[in-house]
Amino acid sequence: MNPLSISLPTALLLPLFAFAGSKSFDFKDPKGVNTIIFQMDALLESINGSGAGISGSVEFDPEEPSQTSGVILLDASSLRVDNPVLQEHMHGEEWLNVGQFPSIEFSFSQLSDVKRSGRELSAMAEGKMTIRNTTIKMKVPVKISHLQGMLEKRNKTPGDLLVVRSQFSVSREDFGIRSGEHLDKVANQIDISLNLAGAAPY
Amino acid sequence: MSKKPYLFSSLPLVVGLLLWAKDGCRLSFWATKVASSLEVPIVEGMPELGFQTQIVWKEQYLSGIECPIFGLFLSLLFGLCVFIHQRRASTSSIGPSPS
Repeated sequence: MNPLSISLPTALLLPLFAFAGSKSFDFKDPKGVNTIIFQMDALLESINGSGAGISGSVEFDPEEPSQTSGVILLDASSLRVDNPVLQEHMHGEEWLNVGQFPSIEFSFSQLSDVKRSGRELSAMAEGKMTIRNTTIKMKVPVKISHLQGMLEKRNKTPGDLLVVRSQFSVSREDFGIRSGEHLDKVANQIDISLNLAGAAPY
Repeated sequence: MSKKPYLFSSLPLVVGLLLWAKDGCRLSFWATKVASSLEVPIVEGMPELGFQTQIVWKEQYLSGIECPIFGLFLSLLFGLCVFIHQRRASTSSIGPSPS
């Protein structure tokens, strides 16, 4: 059989497949812009920081957004604060213990309360958050924008972009991070804000 | 009793307070990094698609609450030394009682 007889139809059909069904978006950003920001406001001290070690993937189908699922991982050792002693304590055994628990994970299996507003979808991501090997079920509000064909303009590679924005809070006592201790200096509530872009090359 | 030594002993507190005020009267301890946030367009040249916040950490020293506390501690220490010195000096200038 002439190899062209197989490859030509495949080549013609490939662009159709590229726009159909769910796509896997990789959140490891080669530009290094993907960041999570956290803030803890205690009575005596306010701690602000960020983490840039984002990875993971999300399966997204623009036709069925409620079936969106995926995992977002944060390298716990990438978390930074302004004071070196505080950062050392935060990474240390008594707090996040990044040596033993190197990643913070949020995995979700579906979206609920999906509402479309123009290019943007707002929904609740139903999933599980794992910090320090403690997993709890969580519903996280997310805003998702699917930017078809825009990866080329961002990363010089043909493909789609998926932008995920979210603001939510977790409490450290839920994850057994020195619950009830040092509440005057280290707040129990951790406010998290993220604005991530994932890439799905064609 | 001269007040000048007491004024000099308050110098560490004044310097500590000035340094603390210069760096923004932060209630937290010192910082060696400063975060600045940049609004980066998701797709360059298309701001209508939204922005991402990128945090850039810059090496910079900022004093914290320890600065006025350390200044206060030093000032109290110097003030106490001045007080003891002046008290001894005044006792020795009176001299021993004739009896």
